[in-house]
Parts: sequence; structure tokens; C-alpha cells
Amino acid sequence: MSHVPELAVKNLHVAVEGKEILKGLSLEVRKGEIHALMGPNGSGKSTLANTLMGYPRYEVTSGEILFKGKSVLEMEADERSRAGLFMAFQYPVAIPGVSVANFLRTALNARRAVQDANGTGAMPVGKGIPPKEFRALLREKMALLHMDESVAGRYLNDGFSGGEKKRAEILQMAILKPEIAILDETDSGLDIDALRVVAEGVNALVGPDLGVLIITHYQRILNYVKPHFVHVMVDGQIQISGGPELALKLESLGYDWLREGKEVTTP
Amino acid sequence: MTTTELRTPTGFDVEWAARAEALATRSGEPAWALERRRAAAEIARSLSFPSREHELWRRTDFRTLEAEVEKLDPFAESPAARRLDDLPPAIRSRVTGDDTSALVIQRDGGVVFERVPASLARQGVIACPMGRALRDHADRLTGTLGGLLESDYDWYVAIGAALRTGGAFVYVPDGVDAVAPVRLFHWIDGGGRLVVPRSVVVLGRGARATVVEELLSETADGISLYAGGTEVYLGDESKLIYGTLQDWGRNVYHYSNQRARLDRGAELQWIQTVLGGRMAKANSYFSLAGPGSQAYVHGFMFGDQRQHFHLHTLQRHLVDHTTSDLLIKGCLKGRARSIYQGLIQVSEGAQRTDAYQANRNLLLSDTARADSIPGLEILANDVRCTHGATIGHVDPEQMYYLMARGLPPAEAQRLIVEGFFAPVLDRIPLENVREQLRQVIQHKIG
Repeated sequence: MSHVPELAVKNLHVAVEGKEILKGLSLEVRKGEIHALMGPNGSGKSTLANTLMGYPRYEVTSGEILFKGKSVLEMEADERSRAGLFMAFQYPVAIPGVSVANFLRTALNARRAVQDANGTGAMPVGKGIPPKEFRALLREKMALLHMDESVAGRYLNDGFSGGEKKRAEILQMAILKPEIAILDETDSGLDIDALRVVAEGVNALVGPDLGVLIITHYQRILNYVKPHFVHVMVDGQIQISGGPELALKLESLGYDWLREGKEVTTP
Repeated sequence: MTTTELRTPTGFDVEWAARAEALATRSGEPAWALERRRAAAEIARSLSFPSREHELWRRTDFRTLEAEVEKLDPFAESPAARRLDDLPPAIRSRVTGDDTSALVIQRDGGVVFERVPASLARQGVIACPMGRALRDHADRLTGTLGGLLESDYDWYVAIGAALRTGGAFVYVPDGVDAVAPVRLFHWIDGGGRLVVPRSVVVLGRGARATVVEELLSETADGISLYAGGTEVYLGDESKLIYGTLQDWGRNVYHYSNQRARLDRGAELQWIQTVLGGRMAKANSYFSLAGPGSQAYVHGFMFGDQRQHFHLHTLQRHLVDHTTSDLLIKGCLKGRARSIYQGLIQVSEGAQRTDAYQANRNLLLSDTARADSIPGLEILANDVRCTHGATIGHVDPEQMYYLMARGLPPAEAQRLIVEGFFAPVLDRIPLENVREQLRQVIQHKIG
């Protein structure tokens, strides 16, 4: 692969409430690539996802996160998002009173406002995405994810089932068009049909303009979304990286095989 | 009302009452109404300002106003407006494009504009200034004006009844489903005004209507006081949507007393918003007086800077098989303060009462304060009454989630606050009114 990786994590150490969770993790994700990050519970997978996104309570004690060659450590979550980073939440929070459509339009317009401000130096008033264009976009992406149109009028994640929440996360990814997307346990809590729909949605979005980091506890989602690279995380570090075959090996041998820590190879 | 602390303002003297009576006489007010003014004036003279020992005044201090009351002018009037163009821009912008609603527009002490579209007039719907209603529809007012809001409630209500200026009368005959809303406006032109309108709304048996009252002004120098009263009567099986939207300028003290009585099978959708004024105190009481009646109450207060809001609601279940469901939301920034004081009363024998009361508060700053004081008085044994209150700051997890989608913190907070108000906003019956309110909220969020 050529050029600077869109996402480069270098020797990252992260503490949560004074306890070190990530202990020198390194990882590179380029556009067009699909990475799977696997690991047992408590290995620090979700901490990594949220650190990348800019969760304010996680403290990077050392190391570096570069996005498109620039450090994001001083950037807030909203700036990282607008720069092209996305995370599908493991537990999306409800925003009562705010409809999915209203929220997505606001999120899209926040991107436009910043782009316009960068371009012209002044933010044009009321120059958001035209309502008609937005409705068409929303309809198209909802169809892609087999979502009922009525969801657009529902309050964001409020009273959503587990499957609806995960689908809504992928919908947001489809609308916001990130360059690098982190899917934090998007497969957890999904029945097989919902998993298939979500995976189809992800597959429809991947391509040369999108790099994906799928974080998962189980190998299951990888039956539907084929990763180019598989990493296994144990105790705050990536223990082993490899190709798709690594996921299958884990599936048959379990994580204990790694905890013994004997067979460590780096590609 | 305790009167131990005798601080009767010298301003309320024979002169004010006498002048109000002379004006009313000249405008052709019937003898019984004049007599009630005199009686109210007597009561006012015997009362003092509400004592701060009183449970409803313990947390709201009108002292600055009290010192000024005697300097206020209860007789300021504006000339009648021939056309909508003669009205203040804020009102004009709110009624432009609305050709179907009935309008009664009050400016300071008097009604300056009224309009009843032919479609409503044909239905027999009345929407007119109280002054004219007392001449033309006296038979409908003898039992209703003062029927729910008694002059001896407190000093402010007493002077309001004695000095009454303006207000509206709305009447929807039996069986009539009013084809368009009735919109009432109150505007205050500046400082130094004392505005005391009294309005009465009557729905006949099976009638249906929507009434929206908006109280607006620009911030001016000098204190003004609005001390209005509203009495709302819902006949058997009638349905009313009633909205009271308050957005006074910051020089206004607001003290409203609104009462509604619901007869058998009647349904009330009550919406109340408190945004403006320097201090605002609102007492809204709902009497479920007929079996099967239902009152749904939704309101919010949104204060900033040093605004002080106090909303007191009373859900009175007087007979069996009645329902009330109340949700009051409060959002505060800066050094603003709100008090919500809610009481559910269930009378003896009012079995199968179903009453709910919820108060949710969102604080946007560390210096804002919200108090929630719920209460239950239950004298029946087969009832379901619940209440709950919450006070909290913006949830950091919600902020993080929205920011992770690219919303700058201010936008994220705006969306959360809008969402917080949505359950109330969604119930506002007129789309343009709802939109206007959204803009006011957005502006206030900053």
C-alpha cells in the first residue's frame, strides 16, 4: 500500500480513571481496507474505539493518533468527525425529542457549515442541504438498510430495539460518508437476520473511499464482511495480526490459545 | 391569605378604584359588574401584598415590584388599530398569513383590534373584548366571570377584579366544532403599566375549539405588571385546546391566575410556556368536576440570566372517574431560577381518579437552580396518583454521541434542549405558532 495511512495509531497508551487500559498499541488503517480487531472481553477494544473518536474521559498518556497524517489528540470528537472519522457506537444513546431526520440533517449541515466557513471565511446563513435533496438521500440510504421510512420521524434511538439502533448507526455512517469508520461491536445483540442486513449495509459502503475497522468479540460478522486483516488484542496490546485465516483459527481454538502467549507472529 | 404583615400600598386608593368604575360606567358595563368591581375594591383595601410566609410566596419575592406598584398606571390605553399594520411588528409578524383565525388583540389596557371571520361567526362563535361582552352577552357572564377566580384569592386578584381592563370573551355554542382557532394577544407598550385583563372562555355541550393566548412585549425601561386572570369552562363532552404562551420583555412582572373547570366527559389539552418577563408567577388550576373528564397539561419554562419563574399547578379531582396527566419541563441557564409547585387533590368520593404529575428540569449552568415541589392530597381510597421530578445537567454521553457525529458542542446542546422541549412543543396546535416558539427557544439557547 502506498501513501500515508489515513489512520495511524502509534504506541498508544490510554488510562481510564487512572488505570492503564491500552499499553502501547499500534495499528494502521488505509482507505479501501477492512480490518477486524478481535479480542476477549476486557482487552481494551472499546477503549481503543472511543479513544480514537475522542471520548473526553479517556486520557492518552503517551503515543500518537494520526488521521491523514495529522495528530488528532488535541481535537474534540466533533472535529474528528468532520475530518472524516466515524465510530458506530456499541451502545448508542437515545436523544429524546430529536427525530432521526432532524438529527441527520443537522449533522450534515454542521459539515457543510464548516466546509463553507473554511472556503469563504463566512458561514452562509440558512444554506443547509436543500430539504428535497436531503429527503432523497435519506430515503435511499434507509432503503439500503431495509429500514422503514417511519424511522426517520422517530426520536433518535429512543425506544429502538437493539437491531434498530445498530442499523441506525450504519445509516448515519452511510449519510455522513466518513473516510475511516470504526464499528464498535456492531454485531453484538443482533439476531442473524439483523446481522445480515447490517453486514450488507457495510458491504455496500466499503470501497476505495472507505476504510473500516470492525471491532468484535465474535468471528460471526466476519462470515458476512470479509476483512483483509485480522488483529487480536489481549490486555491492551495487539498480540497477533494476520489475514482472514486468523479469525477462523480463533474461532476454533478460542482466545485461551493466545493467552498462553506462545505463538506470537507479526506479519 | 394572611394579613398580619400590613403593607397595603398607598397607591391602591379610592382614586384608582373610582376611576376604573367611572370608565366602566361610561363604557356601559351593567350594574352587577360594577357592583363586583366595588366589592373587589373593598377586598383589595382589606388585604396586603401576599405574605412571604405564605407557601405560594415563600420562594418568589416581588418586593422590587411592590415598591413600585403605586407608581404604575392602570389606565394606559392605545388607540384602536384600524388595520393590522397599526399593530406592533411582533404581533403583525405572528398573524400575517393567518386569515382564518379569530383575533382579539389587546394593547396595554384595552383591546385595539378584533376580527371574527365569517366562517366562525356563522357558527355562532363569539370572540370579543370583555368590555363589549359585558354589554352584549351579560347573561353568559354573570355566572362565569369570577365564578372560578374569586376576588379574595389574594391582593393581586382583588385589584385585578376591581380595576379590570380588557380581556376577551370566547364562546362556542353547543355542538359546534369551531372551524378555526381563536387567538388572543396581549401587548404591553412600555414600562410603568399595570395591566389587569380578565378573560372568560365558555364551551357549550359537545363543542370543540382551539384558543391560543400570546403575551408579548419588548423590553422597556421601568417595571410593568401583568396580573391577568382567565376562567375557562368546558361543557359536557366538549374538547378544548388552550395554549398560553408568555414571552414578555424583561421589564415585566407576570402574575397570572388561570382556572379551568371540566364538566362530564370534557377534555382539555392545556399548553403553557413561560419564556419572558423579569419574574413570572403563574397559577394554573384544573377542576375535574364531571365524571369522565380529562385534563392533559403540558408546559415548559425556559429561563436565562436572572429570570425567576414560578409555576403552580393544581389538579383537582372533584368527582369519580376523572383523569389528569401533567408534564412540566424546566430548562435554565445563566443564573435563572425556576420553581415548580404542583399539587394533586382528590376529593372524598372521587374514586377511580387517575392522576399523574411529572416535572423534569435541565440545568445548563452551575449557577442555575430549579426547585420542584410536588404534593398529593388524597381523600379517596380507590385512586391511582403518581408524581415524579428530576433535575439534572445535560448528559455528557448525549453530548459525546452528537459531537461524534460532527456537531459542535453548541449545536449538540441546542439539539438536546430542543429535544427536551419537544414533548410540549409537539402539542402546540398551530404550526406557525410552534415555529415561532422554536425560534424563540433557539435564540434563547444562543
